[in-house]
Amino acid sequence: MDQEVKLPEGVSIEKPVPEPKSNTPKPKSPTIPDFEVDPSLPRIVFPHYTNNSKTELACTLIRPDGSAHMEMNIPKDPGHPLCKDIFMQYDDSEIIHNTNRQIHLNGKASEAAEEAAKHEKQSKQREDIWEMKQTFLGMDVVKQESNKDLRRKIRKSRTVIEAQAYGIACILREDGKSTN
Amino acid sequence: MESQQTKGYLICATLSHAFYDAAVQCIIGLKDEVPDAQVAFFTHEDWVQDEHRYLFDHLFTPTPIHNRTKLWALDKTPFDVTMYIDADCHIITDEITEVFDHMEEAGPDCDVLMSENRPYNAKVVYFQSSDQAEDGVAKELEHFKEEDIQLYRDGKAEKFRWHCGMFVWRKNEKTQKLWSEWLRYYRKHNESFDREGCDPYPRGLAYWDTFAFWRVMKEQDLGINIQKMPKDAKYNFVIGYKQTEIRYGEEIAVLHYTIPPSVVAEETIHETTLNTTFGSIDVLR
Repeated sequence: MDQEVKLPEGVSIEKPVPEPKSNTPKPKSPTIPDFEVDPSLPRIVFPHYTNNSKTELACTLIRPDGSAHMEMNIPKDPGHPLCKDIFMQYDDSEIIHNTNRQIHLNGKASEAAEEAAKHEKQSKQREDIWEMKQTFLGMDVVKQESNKDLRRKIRKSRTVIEAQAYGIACILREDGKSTN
Repeated sequence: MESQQTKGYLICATLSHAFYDAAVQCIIGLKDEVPDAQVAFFTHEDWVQDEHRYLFDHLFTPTPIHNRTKLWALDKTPFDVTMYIDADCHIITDEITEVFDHMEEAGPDCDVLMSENRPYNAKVVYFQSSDQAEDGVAKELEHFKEEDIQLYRDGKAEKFRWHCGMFVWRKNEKTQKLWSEWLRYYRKHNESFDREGCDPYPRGLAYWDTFAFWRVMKEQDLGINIQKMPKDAKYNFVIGYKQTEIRYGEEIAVLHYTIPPSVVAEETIHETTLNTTFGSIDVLR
């Protein structure tokens, strides 16, 4: 039964527009074998193959207390107890479907990891060059009027080595002056 | 005939001491290259070291403890024509002064000269309002996704054209109004409950002053004439830009880097009355 709700002045609740029905045919669901399991045993979730020759599997096991862990290197051997349980509960077409999904997820994870590593490397480089420039430009010896050109080169530097080289050049120049 | 208008540079450093250190380096570089450059500097009084005072021709304190103090400072410029530069810039050559020539050449009708964003080097440039998105959810778009760019081409997305880290303007009624509106919109975005002041645009854009600027230009008819700075990358070469952005025979005049965020965070003023991200416009120091 619909319940009347008092709304503040100026506020209204619009009925959501129903989602349009998709014309794409629904994919055929895999066959679910008829089986029974002991409720005290871990639940088998997302079994998939882990090699191209489909001789090894992995799956997630969820224990009755809710804790979960990934079981790897399960041989596709009807004599192996876990493998036996997997094939009792899952049709091969569903395991292949899971395998394709896992391949896709691995691909995306590796792309994301590459992107993150690239970003981290770039940030580190920028941080290093910033630190190098700040250090040299803050030194009294670099601030000397005679080092104006070298100061410009430090500012302009795009690599740590470049900034360091010009910074050291400033120091050597001043050092040479005092020695002479 | 040379213009009699006063010309100078405006730089702000507030909220994090890292900006002060960067600004000092920026101004030392500027005065190395252009010894008679006039600088208006906005910062906190207790940060100013006596040894640096010679660098600041016009020192403005107190100033808001805020990450966008520039929006508060722009209409206080003491110059007729001003170049705003972010504190995290290195001035490389005296050709920085060409920006004033460009303003002169653009004519008296030109109010502001700005540089353009390079989408490949910007965090966010394209976005959709909730009215434009098919699913009704405002979102930021990715410049590297063809389908996202197509939305912009089809008029179903917006773009931040102007980079707000460097620009040159004439002080007049229109630009004074522009700066006050820019600040008003920035506050509206960031100080409203749950940043709902951003609606119908993505609330994640609130942090960006570029967003507030874009919105002022879209929603307010101020009659401002903004033009693209000729050879713009030369005067605002942001780290990450392609070298090919610099025209043949030209050299970078301003190198715009980024202070490592961890350093900015470490040196930020933390007080209970201040918002941890953007501080407060109302607390002056």
